[in-house]
Amino acid sequence: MQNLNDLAISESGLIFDPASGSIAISNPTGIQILRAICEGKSIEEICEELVREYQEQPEVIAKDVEDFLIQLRNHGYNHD
Amino acid sequence: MTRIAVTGLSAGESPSPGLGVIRSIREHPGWTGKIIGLAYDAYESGVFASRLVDSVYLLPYSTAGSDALLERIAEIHSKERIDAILPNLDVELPNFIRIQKKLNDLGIRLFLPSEEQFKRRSKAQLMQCAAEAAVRTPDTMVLAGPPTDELKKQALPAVVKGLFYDAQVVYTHAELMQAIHRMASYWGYPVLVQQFIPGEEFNAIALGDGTGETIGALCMKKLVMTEKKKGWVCVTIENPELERIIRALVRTLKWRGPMEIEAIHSKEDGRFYVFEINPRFPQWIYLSKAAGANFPYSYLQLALGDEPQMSRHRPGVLFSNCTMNLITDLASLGSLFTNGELHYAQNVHEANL
Repeated sequence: MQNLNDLAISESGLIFDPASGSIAISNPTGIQILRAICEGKSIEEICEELVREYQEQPEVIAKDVEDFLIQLRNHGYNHD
Repeated sequence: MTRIAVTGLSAGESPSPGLGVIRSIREHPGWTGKIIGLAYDAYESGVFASRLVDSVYLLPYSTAGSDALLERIAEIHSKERIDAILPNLDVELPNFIRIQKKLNDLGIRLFLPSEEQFKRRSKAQLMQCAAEAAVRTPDTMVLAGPPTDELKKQALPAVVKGLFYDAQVVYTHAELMQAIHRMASYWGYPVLVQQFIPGEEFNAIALGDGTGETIGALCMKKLVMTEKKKGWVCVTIENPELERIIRALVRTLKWRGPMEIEAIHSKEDGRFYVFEINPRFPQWIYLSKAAGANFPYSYLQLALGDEPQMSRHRPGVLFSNCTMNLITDLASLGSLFTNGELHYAQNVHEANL
């Protein structure tokens, strides 16, 4: 598994892995989650911030964040 | 003022490295001089790139042999006083390597491997060379003559390759036999049959100093490929394992000059398998200059006996090939056909490059 901190993330939402050359696109929320993980925030803290920002049910946010983390793992990236 | 001659000017569907080499050298802040294009055909597209080449001379085809090449280079040298040559084509390299010392005697510098080094990294000897460097490579069978029934045991899919050029993935034994015969009719024997490894393709280049040390190394990944698997959109990367591999090959071979490796990152075991070692710069070489590591200019410095000053490249720099129209006129074409040379100071026409 690769470390998320190795990724280059652009403001436009492009995610580049400088080791493999892989390129992916994420929406602003995905980028926000990625940056928060790289800053060392826990998944719980990230979910709490998103609940406040989007005024959404905690369980909905938690499910969406978990889905995103699964996508990251499927691409070979570990958020831990 | 330096005069360097560069080959490999074809810039069509399957571009050669020459124009990328020339752009890299021209754009180096330390460059002042003249660039002489050496072509094998008046229709090699780069001969019309008037802002890149100052003069163009036609060479005899490689099949004419090294004596014919030496004679022609000496003739060109009497007019141009060439300081260095950078050959970029697989098929011509054996001739240039053979006459390297005689060219040195004329005052023309090259920085190329020896004949022995050149052979050791050939497709036919790839497995042995890779094993010496502790580098993985696909299993490769070298066919010195027409295939026998033994080949029915070949695992499929497989890749059939000519010694210098061409490769075809085959999925059935009928296709395998057909591909071998086609390859042999085009390029002769030996024909190689290589294990097909599913995965993504990666490339790396290096410049060896001839003692086993690597002056510089750079890795890239093809994001978009043509039908012939040529990189059309590529990006520089920073991959320590791939770089370790090319440095190991340079060290094992004590490689002198440019090298490119082509490798597959296996989906099954996650390891790199080197399937080709090319003894020259690749067609994407300009990407190295764009990413901050000017390999062609460093070659020139090595050839002239100077200390190369090469920076580390930046990852995440992309290029996309594009097709452009180079405009020329009949006078220019006529000059190549009738005299075998073309000088842009004397021919006025518009060009896009």
